[in-house]
Amino acid sequence: MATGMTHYETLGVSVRAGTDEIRAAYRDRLLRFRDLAGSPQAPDPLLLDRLREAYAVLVDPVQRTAYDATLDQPAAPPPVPPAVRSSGAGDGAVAHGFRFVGEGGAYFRIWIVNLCLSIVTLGIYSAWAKVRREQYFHRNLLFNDSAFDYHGKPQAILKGRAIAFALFLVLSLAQEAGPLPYLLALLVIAIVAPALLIRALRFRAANTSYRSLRFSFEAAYATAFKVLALNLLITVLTLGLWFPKLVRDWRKFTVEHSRFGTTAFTCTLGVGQVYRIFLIPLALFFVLAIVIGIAGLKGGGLFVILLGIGFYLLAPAYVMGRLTNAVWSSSALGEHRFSSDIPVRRYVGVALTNWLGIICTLGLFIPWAQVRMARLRAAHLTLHAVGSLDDFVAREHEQVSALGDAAADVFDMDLAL
Amino acid sequence: MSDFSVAFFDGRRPQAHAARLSCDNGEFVVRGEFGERRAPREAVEISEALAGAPRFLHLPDGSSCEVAPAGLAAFADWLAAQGHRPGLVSRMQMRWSYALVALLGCVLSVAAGYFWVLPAAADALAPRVPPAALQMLSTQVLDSLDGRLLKPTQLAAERRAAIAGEVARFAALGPEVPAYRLHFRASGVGPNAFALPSGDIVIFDSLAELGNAGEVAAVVAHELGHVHHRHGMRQLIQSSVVSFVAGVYFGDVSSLVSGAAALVLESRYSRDFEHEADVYAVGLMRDSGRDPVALADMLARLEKAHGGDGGNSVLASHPETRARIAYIEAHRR
Ligand SMILES: [Zn+2]
Repeated sequence: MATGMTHYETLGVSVRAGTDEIRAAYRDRLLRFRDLAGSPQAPDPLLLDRLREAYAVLVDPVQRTAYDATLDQPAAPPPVPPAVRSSGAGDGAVAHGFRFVGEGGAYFRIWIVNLCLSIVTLGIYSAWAKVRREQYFHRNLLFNDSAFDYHGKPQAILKGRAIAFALFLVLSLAQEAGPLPYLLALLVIAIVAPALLIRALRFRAANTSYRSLRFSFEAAYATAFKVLALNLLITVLTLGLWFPKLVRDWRKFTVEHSRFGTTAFTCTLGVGQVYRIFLIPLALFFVLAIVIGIAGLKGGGLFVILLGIGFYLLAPAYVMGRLTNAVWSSSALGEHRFSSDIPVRRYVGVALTNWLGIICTLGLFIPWAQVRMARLRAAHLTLHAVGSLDDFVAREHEQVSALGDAAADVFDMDLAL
Repeated sequence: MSDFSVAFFDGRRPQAHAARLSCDNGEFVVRGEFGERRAPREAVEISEALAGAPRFLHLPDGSSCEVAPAGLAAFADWLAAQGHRPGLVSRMQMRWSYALVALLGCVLSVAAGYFWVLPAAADALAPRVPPAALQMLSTQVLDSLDGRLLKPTQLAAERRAAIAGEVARFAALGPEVPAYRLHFRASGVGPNAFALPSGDIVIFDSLAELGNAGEVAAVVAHELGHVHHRHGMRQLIQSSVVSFVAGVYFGDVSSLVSGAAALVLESRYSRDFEHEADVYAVGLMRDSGRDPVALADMLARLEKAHGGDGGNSVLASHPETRARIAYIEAHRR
């Protein structure tokens, strides 16, 4: 790296960046430096000093003004797009990082005010709370200095929720009413769920925009039915051994049917990759089952419970962390490849401390936990751009009802990417 | 300040254009190299301030302006100068003082809901459940238990008749005593008895063997208390609401936490119900001319029968049993 870089370039922020943004960028860079240290692409150790120096100057208004005066190009946009990292791939691609600049304390204020209003209105206001949550997490996610945006309308979400909740009640009552209505209810769920999931994904995509271009999601019912119902059936028949295939098909499905403007996403996630991710937790599960069996016989009650809880907490976090990396790293938007390199230990560490924090504070830590996770995921996500990123084109966007999205909320379905 | 620097996006390509935003005769005007865009103020959607998040202005033609985090404070001033006032909630969620008030509001309203509103609502709702629905629910529970946990009784017919005769003396007291049906069952899970919302009362053989017919009838009096106060239905309503709310709140973390939280919260309700049923049983026994201490004796024996294994000592109700026995002995006459 050339030493002629300005402090702004060192931190990857624009010359107009605010203190919060500078602080967030500094933190991201430090974490990245720490993650890469010791790896084959270990950064120049001097970079750490330059980061500290840049941060110390820019975070102090007096020093910053003095420093700005020494720059010969005041207020002009930096020559290189900010947050650019060398792609390292040698394919001529330029790496653009994502940054999440939200802060736990700020989000706590939004979260608690909306939670209070939701409680007082017996849940009605939660539709507005949801829109604010989505807006906070979209608008604080920056790429090339521009934020994402969320356009969902609370009234639409509320209406969708009412219908989905009625559906939920009817189905629960049917399940209580005896074996025949129960089977019927299951059948209805199996038929309706893929359609609702498609509509949920459509609603979310259609209400997300970046630089005024909307995302979209389009898939045929038959495809979703095959991905979900068929795989689920085989998963049950194989006692879960088919589950990684289900996960892979579902993730590939959600990526491949998404578009940004008219440009489609692609995904080359392999079945073998996902099976490898599940290998360690699965092996551990069998070892644990044996250990717990033996300990249970000898009356080690507390030991068994601790082991069980430890596995219950660590295994999903481990799978989620590695799966996030695998899905993004095999996805592309048109020509432009994504990559995600979250260190699995950090992901598991953040998930675990989040969990502990939430329990110890009776839930008050939830906003900080969500912000921490969003930061981690964004800081390790990169788009390797081949050529210009301005060449996407908008397509006609349509109104999508919120029913599917609301059903996903009410039935607690996980659409995570 | 009459105009303001923003990034403009035309809605067709994700290309950023430097632009100046101004307000002129009730219209927002965006000017840049691309030319000029105008839209009436009420047609422009301004995204609300959310701490340090960038803000957007959405024009009706699908184009938008983005205000970077660094310019947020100046933008808010500029908007205020144009006479734009942020909404009440929008202002509340910017300040720590309101956040603390909201936190207090959350705690108070959840506590009020948990201690008063939910029990009162369940109390008002339970009598409105049609008896046919209660019967259906209860029959179903009993049927499913009969298949797995419960076996046909091994108790001699005379013994069962003696217990039923003792219980019948309560029913003779009048219409205050709810309709009931006694069921005897063998079970491997230790002495117990329970009432279903319909008035079906199940007595385990192991419990019937813990005392004489009068003492067993004392336990049935307690179960009649549950039926009289509709505890079954109220418990069902309250615990569904508690687990639903706990699930929504803790759902993102894990079902383990929400399940544990719901369990802890529901246990308080069942403690209240046990006390109400004890009070009812004491009254019933005194009215029918018997000593309520029979119930206290049975409670002590039940405690001893269950205390031996020490398995679930975390949730065992040892101090509560002592308090219940003390209450009964204090109200013998
Ligand atoms: Zn009881």
